[in-house]
Amino acid sequence: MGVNLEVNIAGIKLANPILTASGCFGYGEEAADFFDLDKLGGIVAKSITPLPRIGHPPPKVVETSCGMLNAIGLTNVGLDKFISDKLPYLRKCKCAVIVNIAGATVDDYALMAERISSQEGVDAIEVNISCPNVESGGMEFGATAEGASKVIGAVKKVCRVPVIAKLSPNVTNIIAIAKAVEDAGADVVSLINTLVGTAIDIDTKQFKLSNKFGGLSGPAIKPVALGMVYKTASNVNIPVIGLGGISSGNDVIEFMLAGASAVQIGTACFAEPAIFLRVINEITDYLESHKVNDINQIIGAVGKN
Amino acid sequence: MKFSGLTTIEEKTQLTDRIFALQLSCPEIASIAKPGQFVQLKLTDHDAHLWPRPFSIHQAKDGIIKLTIKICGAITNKLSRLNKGDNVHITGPLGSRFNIPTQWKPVYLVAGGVGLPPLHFLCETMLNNGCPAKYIHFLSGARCSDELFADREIKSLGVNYILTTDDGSAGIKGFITKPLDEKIAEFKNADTNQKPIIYGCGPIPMLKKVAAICSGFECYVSLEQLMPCGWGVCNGCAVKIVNSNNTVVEDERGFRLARVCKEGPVFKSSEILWE
Repeated sequence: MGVNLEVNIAGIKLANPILTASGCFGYGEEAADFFDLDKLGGIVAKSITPLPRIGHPPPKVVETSCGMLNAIGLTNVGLDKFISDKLPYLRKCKCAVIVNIAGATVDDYALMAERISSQEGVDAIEVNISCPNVESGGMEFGATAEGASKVIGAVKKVCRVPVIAKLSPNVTNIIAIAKAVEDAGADVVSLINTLVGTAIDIDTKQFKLSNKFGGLSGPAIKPVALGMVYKTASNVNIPVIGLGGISSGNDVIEFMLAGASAVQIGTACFAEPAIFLRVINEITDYLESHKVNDINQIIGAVGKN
Repeated sequence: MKFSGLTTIEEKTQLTDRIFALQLSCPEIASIAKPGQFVQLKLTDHDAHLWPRPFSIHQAKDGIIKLTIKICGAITNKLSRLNKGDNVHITGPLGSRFNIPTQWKPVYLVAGGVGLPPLHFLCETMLNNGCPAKYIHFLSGARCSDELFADREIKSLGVNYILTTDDGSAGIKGFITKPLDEKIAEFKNADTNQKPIIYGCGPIPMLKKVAAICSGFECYVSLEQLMPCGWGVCNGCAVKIVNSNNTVVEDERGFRLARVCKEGPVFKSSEILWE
């Protein structure tokens, strides 16, 4: 039995719902040493800022129970170098290419969305209004409906491809933020980014991260992510991309049942760079054994018989 | 192509109380691995620790990768309990390699504890490539005689060999950097093409000392660091570097970072900002 894995997100056809999560897959080329990138639903590139950023000093990461904290601080090559050095490689990939942008001001976001979306081979822009690791911008915008709406509104005005708003879980009411970005014109929302946390070395009595705080990711956050994806998908009319702790086909199915039209895998690919292929096989097996011939049938199907 | 997937343990050998060797069947990695490179191992049945653990390749031949591992935490402890026939997830070969000279000249290999495996691999590779044994000086330091795990193998290679232990229970008493310092001092005024090349792998304080002693010499060190990915995407293992273009990113202030997993683990000792 052939199973249809193709999904459509704001007009972008994905061969399957498996995307890489921004910040966990570099600019694509690193993983080509391990598997054929064309097998992916899409690649979401690492956040780009207007100027290159070295990010925070080491230590930038801490391993925690079933998860990890990172305070990378948006290390990236900057807009110009991304366009000249990194995008040509991504453009050659047959899967969808989504470029993630981050900025310190509303103007930063608009400037980058305009320049990147006018490049050939960019299928969508994901707007990072949820990075917990930068001194200004990032999560500051994503923390309020007003801030989120301002950034997405400005981006939408100039962006020539669909806009995905990447939401922060560090808020009191995810539905209000999701609705605000929908009203501001977002074509898609993706969630969740990392949860703010810290870790302390009890021998040295120092924070384990140079930045004190970092973003928690990995299986530890999956239930939180799943809950927020369900709440959001039930309350907005735009597609939802789910992420947060996904490391198996079963996890993907859970997120899609909760209402996600596609998913991103991040932290789990660190230990297993070719995890995407395993997960695609696992979701195919699930659909076949449950006699579902089109993956779209399970999107948002939780609780419905 | 690199490899990431399951591999089978062909043999496990207990070398000391806390040090053991795993021989893993992995022709994809063994056929292309170079001295200095590493692999990431992840247990298949253990999810509490997400990150794989990096191990330098000790030997790669006939489709088999040999790793020599010291028990120093929960993961290495669990690895030590695996047996022949068990599976483990492996990714590699990863990282940079030791730069092997094109014209043979004296080389000093300076190993501290379980920093020895990649230097042993380098030594055997140079000998196989035709380097006369007299040019190779293997300087190996350990805490005590109970922690020696490759003493006989190194001796059997016929290279110059100096052993130190912190407590004097084998070889010369003291740190390995002392004999290194004495040897290198002999070359201070030598012509550049007469100066030896130095390769170091071991604990950071030792490498820092090696870098200081070998300032002005061609000197390479292999850094150890926990790394969430090991293949260049997370930037978690980045270290500060100086005097080098070997960098992943430079920001507008001129600060540079390099990833231990990608630009490293082997760096020129002069590139590292030793803090």
